[in-house]
Amino acid sequence: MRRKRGALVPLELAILDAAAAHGEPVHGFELAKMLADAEGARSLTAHGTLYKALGRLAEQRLVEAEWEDPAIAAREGRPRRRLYRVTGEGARRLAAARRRATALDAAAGLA
Amino acid sequence: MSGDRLALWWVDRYTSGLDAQTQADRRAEIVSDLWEHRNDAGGSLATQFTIASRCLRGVPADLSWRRSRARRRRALPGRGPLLRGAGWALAGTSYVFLVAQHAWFATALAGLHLYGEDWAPGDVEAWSRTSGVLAAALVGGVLLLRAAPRVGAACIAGASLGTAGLMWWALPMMGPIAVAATTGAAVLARRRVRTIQRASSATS
Repeated sequence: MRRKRGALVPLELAILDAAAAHGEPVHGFELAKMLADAEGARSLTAHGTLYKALGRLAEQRLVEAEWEDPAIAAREGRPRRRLYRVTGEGARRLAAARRRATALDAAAGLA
Repeated sequence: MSGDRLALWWVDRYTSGLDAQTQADRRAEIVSDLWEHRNDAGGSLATQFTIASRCLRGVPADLSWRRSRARRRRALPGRGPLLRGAGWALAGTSYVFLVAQHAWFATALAGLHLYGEDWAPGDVEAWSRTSGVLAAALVGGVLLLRAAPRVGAACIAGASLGTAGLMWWALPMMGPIAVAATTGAAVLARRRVRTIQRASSATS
């Protein structure tokens, strides 16, 4: 089934949620761990699934991606990280999704 | 093959042909992820298995991502992919033509007399020896492209351009054929050199 243009899938919402809760810019592997922890899953999100979702969020300007300063990576003796931060628009979309979910839960509770 | 190597091999495969910046960004992101994963979980066999699993489970998403990137690229003005395809077809056909031609000329080495009935004595033998060397250089060049790309490309270029030189009377036809085969070999070698350099920088 083709997704509606601009609609967010559960993984994208989970990424926004995790990154927003973290507050600081977060890199891909850290996000994969946060997602696994949040879901109590043993396996980490696949590379392709995670970075495709992050790419889509960046294209929609819901997250901002930025390569960290190479000097920091060199000082710490590791490859450069690509850091993601939730934008204002991303926070708004996340809040709207949460409101919808709450309303649906309430409606289900009333039914 | 370890999980890391599998993931890096795969990223090179599915980003191949995309623009250089996209390729470099995706590869750097995977390199970083692999490092963080190993650093977090240790370099045990179980970690390598988990990395391989993450790589394999992501294959459908990677392919879908690649398709969307390629579509976006095709949507841009220009006939880049078409021209590239035509270029590779020309280079491949030229290479096969050169090998087939020299293999045929070299048949005299095997005692066959398929040509040269009206040639001067000894010319067929000399020509077939030269063709044998050039055919070996062409085939050997391709075999070397993976392990020693520059040497492989030099063999192909030398044999192709040498053929054009030897057959100077047919230069209008042999010249473009030699240039096409040489260009194809040079592009393949350049790609391979870059892959080797990336792999060595990722492991260092």
